[in-house]
Amino acid sequence: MSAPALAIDKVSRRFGSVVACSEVSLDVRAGEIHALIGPNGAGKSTLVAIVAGSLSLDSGRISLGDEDVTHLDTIERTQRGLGRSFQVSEVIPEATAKENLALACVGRQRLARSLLVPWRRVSGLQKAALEFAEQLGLTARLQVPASSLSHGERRRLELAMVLALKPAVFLLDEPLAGMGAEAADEMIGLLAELKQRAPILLVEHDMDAVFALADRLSVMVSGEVIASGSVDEIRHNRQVRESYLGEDLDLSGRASNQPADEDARRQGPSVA
Amino acid sequence: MTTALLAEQVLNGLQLGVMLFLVAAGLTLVFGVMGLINLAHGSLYMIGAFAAAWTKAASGSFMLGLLASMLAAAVAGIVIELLVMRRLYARDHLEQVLATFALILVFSEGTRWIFGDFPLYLDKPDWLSGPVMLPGGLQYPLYRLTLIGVGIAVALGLYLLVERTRTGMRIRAGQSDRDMVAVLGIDIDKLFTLVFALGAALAGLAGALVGTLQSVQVGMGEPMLILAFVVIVIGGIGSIKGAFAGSLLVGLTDTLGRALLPGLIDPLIPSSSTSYGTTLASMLVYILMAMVLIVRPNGLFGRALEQRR
Amino acid sequence: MIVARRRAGSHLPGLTIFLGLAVVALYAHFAEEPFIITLATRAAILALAGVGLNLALGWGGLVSLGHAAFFGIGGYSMGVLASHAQDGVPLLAGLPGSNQMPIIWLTALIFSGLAALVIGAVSLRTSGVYFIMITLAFAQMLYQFAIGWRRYGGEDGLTIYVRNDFPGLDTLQPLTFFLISFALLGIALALCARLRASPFGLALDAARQSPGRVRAVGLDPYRLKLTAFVLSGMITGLAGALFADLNRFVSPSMLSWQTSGEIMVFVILGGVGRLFGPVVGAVGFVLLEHLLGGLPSRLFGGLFSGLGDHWHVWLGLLLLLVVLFAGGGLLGGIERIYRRLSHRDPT
Repeated sequence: MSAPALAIDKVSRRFGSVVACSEVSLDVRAGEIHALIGPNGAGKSTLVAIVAGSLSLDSGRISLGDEDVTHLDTIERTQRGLGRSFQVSEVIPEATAKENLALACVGRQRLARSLLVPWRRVSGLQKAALEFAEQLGLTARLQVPASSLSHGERRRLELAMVLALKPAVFLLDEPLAGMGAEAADEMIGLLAELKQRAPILLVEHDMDAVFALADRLSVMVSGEVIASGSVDEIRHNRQVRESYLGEDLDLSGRASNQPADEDARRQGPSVA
Repeated sequence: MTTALLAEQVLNGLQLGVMLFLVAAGLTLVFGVMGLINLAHGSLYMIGAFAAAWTKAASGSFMLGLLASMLAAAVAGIVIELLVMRRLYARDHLEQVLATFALILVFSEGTRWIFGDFPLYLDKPDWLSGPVMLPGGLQYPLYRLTLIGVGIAVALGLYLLVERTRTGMRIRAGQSDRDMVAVLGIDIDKLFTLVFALGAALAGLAGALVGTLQSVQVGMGEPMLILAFVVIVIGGIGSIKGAFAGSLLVGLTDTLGRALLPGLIDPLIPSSSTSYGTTLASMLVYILMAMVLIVRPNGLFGRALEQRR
Repeated sequence: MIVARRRAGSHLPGLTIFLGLAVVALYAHFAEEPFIITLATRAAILALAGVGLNLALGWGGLVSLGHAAFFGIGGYSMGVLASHAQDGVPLLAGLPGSNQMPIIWLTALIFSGLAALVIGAVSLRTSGVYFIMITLAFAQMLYQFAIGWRRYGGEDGLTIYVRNDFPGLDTLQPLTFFLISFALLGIALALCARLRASPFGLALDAARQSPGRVRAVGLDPYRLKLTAFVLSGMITGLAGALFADLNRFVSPSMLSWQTSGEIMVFVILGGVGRLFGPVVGAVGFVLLEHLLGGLPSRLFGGLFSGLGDHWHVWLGLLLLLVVLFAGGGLLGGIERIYRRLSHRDPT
């Protein structure tokens, strides 16, 4: 059996006396969507930052495929196939959607050393940018500065940029944050398609999306992974139900009562 | 170099250090609490010196001159805080740099307009002149020794103010979280004005004290300002402790460097026109700054930002 | 830190002023007013210095308060080489000095580039306010070095008696020297335009606005900014060599904080981040300097007699007003007028 696309192995991290992550282990295998859920303050954001490479860990290992990337930074991890999206959209505000996508392509193709050729004339660059815009329904908004895009469009642009990286594994941080119902459903459809290209570690609060998309589910509470397994296993896990999902969980998957995080989906970005 | 001479240079270094601290403390406090980089701080130093010289000439009293230096600088500080700085707190650093650079132009040329191009002299009073016999047989100027004393007193005073008084608590709170302080109902405007005026008064005092040693002229503030920046970078911006440590480090390095390096380097690189030892000595503090930065990009006591690789 | 910048509408207003500079110089040549040509040359050279700074500041978002370091290195490259040629004394290890402009320019480019590499490598590890203070400090360091360098004049500076040569041209002719400077300015502008449009430029602009995003696409903001800083230093260094040639004089003041500040001021006033911004700013600066500074003081009496002598006060107040109440700089304002005049839409 080959190594998983992404492996998080006993990762721990504390801030002073606060333990953000305690021996967290999980992995993402080819062809799957592994969702990570948990209440606010569980340590999900910290873990995402550690996996992305922007925060160092105290102990543990991160691997991309066969390679141990624990001591590599974000730039190097991205070059080795990690594609992350941000919880709060990090797009380039003054640049148009097209330019943002071109930037991602420049990154993937390592073109930043090219100083004298206009990027619009680099063969394939514009076409690639257009292609990804199309896949996320942004073709009509290509010339619009990213700061003028609607929230949903910006989330889609964010995702398109990650797509443009053609990563080996996706790290998606609350891609549905702040989306209305219709936009969220569209995004869910997109994400389902996405796993064909590369496996996904999906951090989300939106339970509809999680239950619809996840092949495997891990639940993080107070810095620890308290349960990990298939969607059914997790839904029937008593500890999870008590601490996070709430007792009245409809077995069909549509959560009718989500006490702690009902508003999270509608509200937007949260601090986890 | 004899022990006596070395000791003298060490004391000189301390004296430069504490004077630098007076300037750097205000700068770092203003940045720490208000997030404002103020290039015009050197102008406040200059204003203090000119006010002292003018007052001493008019009244004959050195002490009155010192008082005037602090008052004039504080008043100038309050005026620019109300008129200019208030509008800059929310702006980005580039705009702050430009606006305060504009203030330097106004103050420098304005002072030249009023007082002319020639330097003023500020003499130390008789009761502060002359040497003092220190243990070990070293004779050291009383005035310089007094400066060291003043500097230490100010450092202590600032420490007590910031750590032990309610105002100090508000200052520390403002350093950590400006918005929270406002929400808690503390009059943030008054706090900012107070902090700014305090920094200005210290700078003005330093200007008067150092102006007595050297001379009082337009443009005297900026070299001190730049050295104060070096101090802050070394010490860590926003940290008074860092400013103190940095000032002493810079003061000692500069003074000892200038005293020792020519003797060491010149014989190695003989030149009829240039003393490479002196040249290297003048660059020493900047090299020190670079070395500190390589190891600690946020300075010795700088607030650690989020760990980023 | 973010430098807010409107998307440049049209380059036309700036281009007009750029070309206008040449027109003025040509006119002055035929009208036999060499002083005006000198003013135009001064504007062109300062504009070149500004183009260098603008690459780092406007496009890279690097607030460098120490660009005088490169300006001065360029100037001293000229001073050192030319003085050795002048005296006939060999420079180092038998190498002679030179009074050939191409060699001087190459030297200026190399040394200012190296300085920018070292200064940038150290300074770019920090950000925000630290960067501003550190660049200022390094320039000050070089300033003090120059003052102590009595071999080349020290505080008094170094005079070069004859303008340097350019193969095939009579550089003593004011118009010729203007055209040389103007041509270099044009090349620098074209280079910057190319850089901005390139993948590098795209990435650099992105790094200014969101370094985190740039890292997340696999690019290194530090390397991008360092490259920009080095190129920026080289361009400003070249301007320094020309400036010293224009005045036939180089002194530590080329390395002073005042010089750094002045270059930054006119780059900002001309419109930071816009391609022709430094040109507009430099022209405005030279005009102000000439008009306000040259005001005959006997025109006014009493209190107003200092009007001209102390023109920096007015510059300071003007700058203060502009920063506090306007945005987009001079070029933005000109652009707004132009647009209103021709009822054109910004693209």
